[in-house]
Amino acid sequence: MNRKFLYLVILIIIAVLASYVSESFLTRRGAFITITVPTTSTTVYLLSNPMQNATLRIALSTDISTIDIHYATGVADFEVLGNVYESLFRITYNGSKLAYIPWLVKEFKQLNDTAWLFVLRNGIMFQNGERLTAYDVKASLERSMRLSGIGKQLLTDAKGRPVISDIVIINDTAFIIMLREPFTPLIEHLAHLSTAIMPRDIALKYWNGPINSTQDVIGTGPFMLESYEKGSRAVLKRFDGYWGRKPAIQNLVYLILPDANARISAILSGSVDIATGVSPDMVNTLRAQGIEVYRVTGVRLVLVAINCLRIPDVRVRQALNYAINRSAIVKELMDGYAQVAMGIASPVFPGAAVLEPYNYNVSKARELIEEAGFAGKKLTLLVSTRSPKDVQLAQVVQQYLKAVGVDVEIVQMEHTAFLKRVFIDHDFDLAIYGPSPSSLYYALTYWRTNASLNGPQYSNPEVDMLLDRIAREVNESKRLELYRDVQEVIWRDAPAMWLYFEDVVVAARPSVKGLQILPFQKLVLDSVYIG
Amino acid sequence: MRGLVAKISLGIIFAEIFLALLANFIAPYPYYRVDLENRLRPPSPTHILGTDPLGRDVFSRLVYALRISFAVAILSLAVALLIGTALGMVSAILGSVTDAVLSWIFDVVYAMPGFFIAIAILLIIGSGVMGTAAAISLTLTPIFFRLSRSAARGVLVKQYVEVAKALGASTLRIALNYVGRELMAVVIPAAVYMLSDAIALEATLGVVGLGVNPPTPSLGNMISEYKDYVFVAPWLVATPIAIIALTIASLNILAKELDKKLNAFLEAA
Amino acid sequence: MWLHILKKLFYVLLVVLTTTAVLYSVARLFPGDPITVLYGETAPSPDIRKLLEARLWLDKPIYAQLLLYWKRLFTGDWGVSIFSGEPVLTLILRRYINSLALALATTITTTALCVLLVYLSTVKGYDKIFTQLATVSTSMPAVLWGIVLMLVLALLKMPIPFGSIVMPLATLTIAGVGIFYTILKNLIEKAFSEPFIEMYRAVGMSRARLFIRALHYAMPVYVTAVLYRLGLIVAGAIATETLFSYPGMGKLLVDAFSSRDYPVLLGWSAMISSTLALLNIFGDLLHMYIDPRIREEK
Repeated sequence: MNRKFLYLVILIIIAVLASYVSESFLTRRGAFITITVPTTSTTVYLLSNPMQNATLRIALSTDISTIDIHYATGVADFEVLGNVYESLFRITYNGSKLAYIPWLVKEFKQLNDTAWLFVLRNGIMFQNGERLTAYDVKASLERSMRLSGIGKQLLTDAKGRPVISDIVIINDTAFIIMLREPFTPLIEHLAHLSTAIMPRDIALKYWNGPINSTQDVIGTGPFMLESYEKGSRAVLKRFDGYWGRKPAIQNLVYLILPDANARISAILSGSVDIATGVSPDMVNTLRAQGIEVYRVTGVRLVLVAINCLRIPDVRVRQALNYAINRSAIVKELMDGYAQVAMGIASPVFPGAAVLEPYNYNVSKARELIEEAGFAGKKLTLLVSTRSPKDVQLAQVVQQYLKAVGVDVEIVQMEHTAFLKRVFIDHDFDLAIYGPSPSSLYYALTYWRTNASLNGPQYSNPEVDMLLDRIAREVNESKRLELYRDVQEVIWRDAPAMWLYFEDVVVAARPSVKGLQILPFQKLVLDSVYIG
Repeated sequence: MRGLVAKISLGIIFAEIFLALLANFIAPYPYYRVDLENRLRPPSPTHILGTDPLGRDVFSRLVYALRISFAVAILSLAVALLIGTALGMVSAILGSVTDAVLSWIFDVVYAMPGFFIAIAILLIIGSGVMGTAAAISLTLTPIFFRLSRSAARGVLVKQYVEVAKALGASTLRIALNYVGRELMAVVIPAAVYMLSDAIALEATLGVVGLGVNPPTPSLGNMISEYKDYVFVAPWLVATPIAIIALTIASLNILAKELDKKLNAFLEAA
Repeated sequence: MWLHILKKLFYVLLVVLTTTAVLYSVARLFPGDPITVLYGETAPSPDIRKLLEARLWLDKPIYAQLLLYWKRLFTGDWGVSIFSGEPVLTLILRRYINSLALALATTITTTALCVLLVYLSTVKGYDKIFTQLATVSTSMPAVLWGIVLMLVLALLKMPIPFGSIVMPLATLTIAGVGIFYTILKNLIEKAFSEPFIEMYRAVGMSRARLFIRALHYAMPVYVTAVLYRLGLIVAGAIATETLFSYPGMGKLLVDAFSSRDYPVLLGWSAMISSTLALLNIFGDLLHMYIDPRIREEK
C-alpha cells in the first residue's frame, strides 16, 4: 500500500463522480428556453408545438402523504390525486356558492326515502383501459366506507352506523344505493374525492391497507400518475382516453417546495407556472412583478379548539371568543385575505348560517372569566409547525388572552405528534388548526359526540339529534331551518374560538390561462392552457 | 494588524454579552408585544431595526435573542465540557471495561445525526430552552470525551506518571495533578472553539424549528421566521444573520488567539 | 493485524446495532405512528386499525419489533416503505449514492479551491485576504449559508434549481472552504519547514514546483482530515438537503421521520452508522500508516 495506490483510488472516484455530476446537470433541462423581455418578467416559450405538449408546473407547500385516494387527507393529496381520480359527483363553484353536479353519473333518481338509483355515463374508461362499471363503483364505495377515515365520516350517521346498507347492482351502468335511513347529504358526500372510484380489482387487492405502488394508482380522471418521488415531486401525464374534455396540458409536474421563499422565487423566475400556499403578505410583491394572483373565499375555518372536558364552563369558552379582535387579525395579519368567521361554516356552503357575532369585547370577556372563577389560569396552546401562519396566529392569540387575564403558553409540535396529541389523545387545553370540510353537513359532523375530528371532545346530545334529523328531513326549507338551529347551538356552545375563513390565494404566471380555483384549495385544471 | 482584529472581536463579544445581560433594561419594548397595526415597518426612530411580521420591535427581540442564544450556548458547553472531560478522564484512568463501555456509548452518540438527538431530547425533555441546551450538550459531549480521553492516555503513559505510581501516589492524586493539568491545556482551547459551534448549533436548531418555543426569540428562530419576508422586508432577516456571522467569527478569532497565547505559555513553562 | 481488524469490525457491528436500536426506540416512542400519518385528523375504525397494526408490526412491543427488523437486516430483506411501497434497500441505496456524490463533489470542489487559495497565499503571498475569507466562511453553519444563497438568488429573481446537486454543493463548499483552507495551509507551511524543501530550494527549484512537492507531502494527513468531514456530510447535511430538496440521506431521514416510515428509518440508521463506524476505522488505519512518517520527522 503506497501513495500511488491512494492517488489512483482518488482518481477513480473523481472519474466516477464527474460522470455522475455531469449527468445530473444535463437531465431535467427539458424543452424550454427562458427569454427575458425588457420588462422585469420572463416569458416562457416552448420549443415544440404549443398547447398540446405543454407542461404545467405547480409548486405545492406540503407533501403528499399517500398515493391512495381513499387515504387522502391533506390538501396536497387531493390536489394531486384529484387529477387522477373522480367521484360520482363533482363539486363546482360559481363564485359565491358551491354546487354538486353529477359527474360519472349520467342521471340519478330518488326512488323512495331510502333508495337512490344511479345510472353511469357510457364509455368512461379507467386509465388501465378497462371500462367503468357499477361493479367498480360498488367496490370503491365499500372500500371507502371501510378504510377511509373521511369516507367513514361522510357516510355514517350520528350513532356511527354506516348510512349505506347495500349497493345493489342492476346492470353494468346502473345501481341502487340502499340506505338504512333517509340521508339527505348523500349526493354532496358522493362528490367528495374520498369516495372516488377505482377499478374493482385494485380495490379488492388493497382491501386491507393503502395502495403502495404507483402502478395501481388508476382512476378515471384526465391525468395519470407517472411517477412520485416522496418529498420532491409528482409527475402526471395526460390520459388520452379520458371521457371528458381533454386538457390542453400534456404533463403536470407538482413540485413540493415547503419553503415559502422557494415557491415565490420559483414562480418569479419561471421555474413553476403556478404556486399554491401564497402568503397574503406576498401578493403585492407578486403583482408588481407581473404575476397574477387569484383569490377565492375558502372553506378552511381557522379556529382555536378549546378542550371541553378541561374547560367545561361555557362562559369561559365564550369569554375566549369575545377576547379576540378578529377584524384586526383579518385586516392586518391576513392582509384582508380572509373572512371574519360569522358562523361555523364558510359562506360558500349553501345553507351556511350567519350568526350573531362575537364582537371584540375585552370587558365582557373579563367579566365572564371573573364570573366563572377562571381568572389567572394558565393554559397551553398547541400549534403544529407545519403552518408558519398558524404559529404566528398563536402568538397573537396569546397576547389577546393575556389581556383578559388568561396566561397562555405556546407549545409548537411536529405535525404528526400534534395530530396525535389533539385528535387521538385529546391531551391539550387549546389547539390551533383549521378543518376544510367539503359540505355543510360534513362541517357539522366535526361536532358530533365522539366524532373522530372532534378534537375538543365537544358533546351535546341536542346537536347529535339535530344532525340526525337533518339527515332524515326531506323537506328542504325545514331542513334549512334545522341547519340554522344546529349551527346556532354549536356557535353558542363555543367548543372553539371561531376565528376566520382563510382565503385561498394562488399565484400564476400570466401565461397560464383558464385557471379556476375551488374554495378547498384545489386547482381546476380542466380549461387551463398556456398562452 | 493581527492585534487589531482580535481586539475588535473581543469588543464585539463583550458588547453582545453586555446587551444580553442587560436586555431587560436596554430593550425599548417587550419582545413579545404584538402590534398588528405596525407590521413589517422599516427601521425608523421609534423602531431602530424596524418591526417584525407581528409588529414586534426587532431590536428588542434581538437583544433578548442574544441572551437566549448565549445562555443556551454557554450552558450546553459547560455541561458538555464537565461531563465529557470528567468521563474521558475516568475512562482513561480506569481503563479496560469502563473504558470499553464508555467509549461504546459515546461512539453511538457520536454516530447519531444531530436531528435525531434533537428529536430524542424533544421527546424526553420537551421543547424550550432546557431542551435545546440538552440537545446541544449531548451533541458536544462526545467530542470532549474523546479529546480528554486521548489527552489523558497520552499523559498516563509518560514516564513521570510511572514514577509517581511507583512512589505510591493514589490514583486520585495522579488524576488531579498530572492528567488534570494536561487536560486543561487541551480542553480549554477546544472549549472556546466549541462555543462558536454551540452558537451555530443553536441557530441551526432554531432555523429548522426545533429550538425554543415562541414567542421566545432566538437568533435561529428569528432567521427561520423572517426569511419568508425577504421580498417585503429584507432588513428583517439580514440582522440576525449578520449578528450570528459576527458572533461566530469573533469567537473563532478569539479562540485562535487564546490558543496561540496558551501554547506560548505552555512552551515557556 | 487481522485479529485487530476483526476486533474492530466486531465493534462496528456493536455500534451499528446499538445505534439502530436507539434510533428506532426514539422514533417509536415519539408520539404518532404511520397510522396517524395515514389518517390525519380522522381515525380508522378499531378493527381496521388492528389490521393495519398487524401488517406494520405495531401490535408487538418495541424490542420484539427491533429483533425482527435486525433479523431481516442481516438476511438482506429490508422491507418496503410504508407509503411508497418501494423496497427500502433500493430507496436507501439511491439516496445514499446521492449523498455520497454530494460529499465527494464537495470535497473535490473545496479541495480544488483550497489548493488554489493556499498556492496563491504561500507562493504569491496573498495571505491576509484569504485568511479573512476563511474566517467569513466559518462564520456561519452550512444551513445559514444555504439560506443566504437562496435569498440572494431569490432577490435576483434567478431560478433556483431545487432537487439538483448544485445548490447543496455550492452551500457546503462555501461553508467548508474556511476550515479546509486553514488545515491545508498549516500542513503546507509545516511541509515548507521540512529539510527536504530546503534542499530543493538550494538546488534552485521554482516556488511553484516546491509547492507541488509540499502538496504531495501534506496530502495523506489532509486526506485523513477530509475523510472525517466526508462522513459528516453523507450523514449530516440534513438541513442543507432539506432546504434545497436534494434527494439524499439527510432529506430521507426528515421525510421518513415525519411520516413515521419505520422500515426506512431502520435501514437508514443501519446504513449511516455503519458508514460512520467504518470511516472511523479507515481513518484509524490511515493514521497508523501516516504515523511512522510523523514519528520519523520528530
